[in-house]
Amino acid sequence: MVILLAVLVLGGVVWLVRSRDVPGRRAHADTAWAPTRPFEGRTITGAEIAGGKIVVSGLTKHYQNVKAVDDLSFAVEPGRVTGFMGPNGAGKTTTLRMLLGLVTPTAGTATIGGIRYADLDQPARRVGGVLEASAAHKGRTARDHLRIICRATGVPLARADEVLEMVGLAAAGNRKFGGYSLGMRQRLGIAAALIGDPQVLILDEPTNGLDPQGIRWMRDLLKALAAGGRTVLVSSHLLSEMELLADDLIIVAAGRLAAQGSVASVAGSISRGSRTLVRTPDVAKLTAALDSEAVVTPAGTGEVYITGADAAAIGDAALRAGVAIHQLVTQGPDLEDAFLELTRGKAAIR
Amino acid sequence: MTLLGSPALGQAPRTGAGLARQAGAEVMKIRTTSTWWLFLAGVVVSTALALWTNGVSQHYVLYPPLSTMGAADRAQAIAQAAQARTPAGVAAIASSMMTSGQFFGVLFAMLIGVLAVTNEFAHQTATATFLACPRRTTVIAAKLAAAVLFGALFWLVSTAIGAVVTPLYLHAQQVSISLTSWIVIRSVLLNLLAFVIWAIFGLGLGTLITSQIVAVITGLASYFAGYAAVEIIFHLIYHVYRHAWILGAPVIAPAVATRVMITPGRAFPHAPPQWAGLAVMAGYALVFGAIGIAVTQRRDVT
Repeated sequence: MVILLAVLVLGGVVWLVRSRDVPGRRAHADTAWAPTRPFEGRTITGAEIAGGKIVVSGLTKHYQNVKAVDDLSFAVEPGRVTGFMGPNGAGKTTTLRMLLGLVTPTAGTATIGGIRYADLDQPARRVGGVLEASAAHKGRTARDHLRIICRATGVPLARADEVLEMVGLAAAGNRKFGGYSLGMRQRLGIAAALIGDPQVLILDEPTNGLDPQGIRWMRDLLKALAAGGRTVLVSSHLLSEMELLADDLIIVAAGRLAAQGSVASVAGSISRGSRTLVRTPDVAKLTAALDSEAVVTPAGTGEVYITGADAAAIGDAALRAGVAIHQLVTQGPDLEDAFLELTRGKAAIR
Repeated sequence: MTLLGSPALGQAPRTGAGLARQAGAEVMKIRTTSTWWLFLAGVVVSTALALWTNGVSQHYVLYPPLSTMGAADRAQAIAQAAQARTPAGVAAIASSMMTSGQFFGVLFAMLIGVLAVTNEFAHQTATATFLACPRRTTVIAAKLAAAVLFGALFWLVSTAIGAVVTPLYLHAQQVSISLTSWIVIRSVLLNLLAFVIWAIFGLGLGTLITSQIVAVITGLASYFAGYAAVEIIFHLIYHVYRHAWILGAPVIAPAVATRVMITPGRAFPHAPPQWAGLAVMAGYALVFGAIGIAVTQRRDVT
């Protein structure tokens, strides 16, 4: 009897010590922490860098007669904004949904910090997902929508008001979702994703329906989150937006990987290097004055693209020939051209 | 690891069983739209109407209008009234009054179950739900708990109205029985079971048919049409095969099974005993619950 009691007490003490040890262990010195960053005058504290890497490996999803995603592999690093791009129907949304455990892959794996989403302990505290703009009951207030997610995630309900304020919806929190504009719905989706203060954010077309202010706001927020050490994976088909927002790009077409790397390396990966746009009243005379390696292609009335000669060589040649130059612009590799070349022939409706 | 210095997240994280947490979230989902109290209002109104019609018809059994009847009818009515005044007869009247709200009440319980699932698809909230809790069996179990809770709430309100009206009615009719007698209590408890099972039935229906409108119509049809259609079909079969048990077989329809389950004695001529109704309803709840979990496990949320 006494022995039994002693064992029980000892077990209780061990359990207490272990359960107290858990938060301590998380903040241990072997985990790296990113620096804090400012956002709208406030501070975003750094996230734990370890465990935020997304790895997609051989991911495949077959629907009845379509290979929506076909043996797709890529990795997404923490501390950077990664743009996930592709033509409509390239399999972007399906990939993100498999990553979040909503769609079961036909083959392959998608892990976050080496663990499948469904196997994560407290997944919503590690990963935030924004998948549909209109994803709340129309008869429910935005605050109640968020409080339900708080309850299901296991964080205090007061967190709902914090995230509402963070996305600028504090004044509209008690309004029903049915009356929300598309831009407000996007902000609410972001708020829901931020409830668990996740280390990884996965967003599907978050800028759809946002006004210019909203797009700027979203860009600043995502950049600040990434700079704070978080992993940010954001799908879009808006090239101009991705050029401003993303550090890295993953381009998919017809369910397969078309390119992966930094924005500059993806844009530079196409055959064409830099070119020079020249506006001159006498194209023929200028062409005659250039080296034989230079290639001149018409670009409009009085405008030509010249490759094979840089701006200095073109300017010198013009001076020698006595040709007036009205404009001389060097253009680097273009993301739009790269995107169109990488996805050529794979953008058809499947 | 807090974003923008969150005081809320700074508090100790809530832990505890996942199911309790999800069930809490599911109850919040039902509570935060207007549906549930509209249904509750429906339960109150339909219970009041049912008590009124039930009370009137019972009154004419106890006090048949003999002066308007022919001799043969009169003898039968007197016999019926005498039967109704026996302790068993009064117990049956009391049970019937106490469970008056059942006919429409279980419908509302079923609809709460249907909507608990189909709302998630109609409003695309399934994504948020499964992101917060990827363990789908836990989500379904939590929905089950919430639907059962609201089914029980509807029963409670319906029974409370019955418990106020029934003693006054019995007193006015000058018959008496203790409402705490086992026959009455048993009917009331079986009635609770009916509300709960119909809520589960609705939930299973919702997981099978995720289109809200189709699921609701199917649910209503299986209740109302099932009632009449099954009895007609089995009567036709009986005319061919002439086995008495065929007349009791309509119990396989959920609506008939519910009536058999809560009616002391025989719900209709050749009706199977009460436990058969209970077994049929429990079977539906089990099968639908299991199918609901299996289907939800496999479904891609797109």
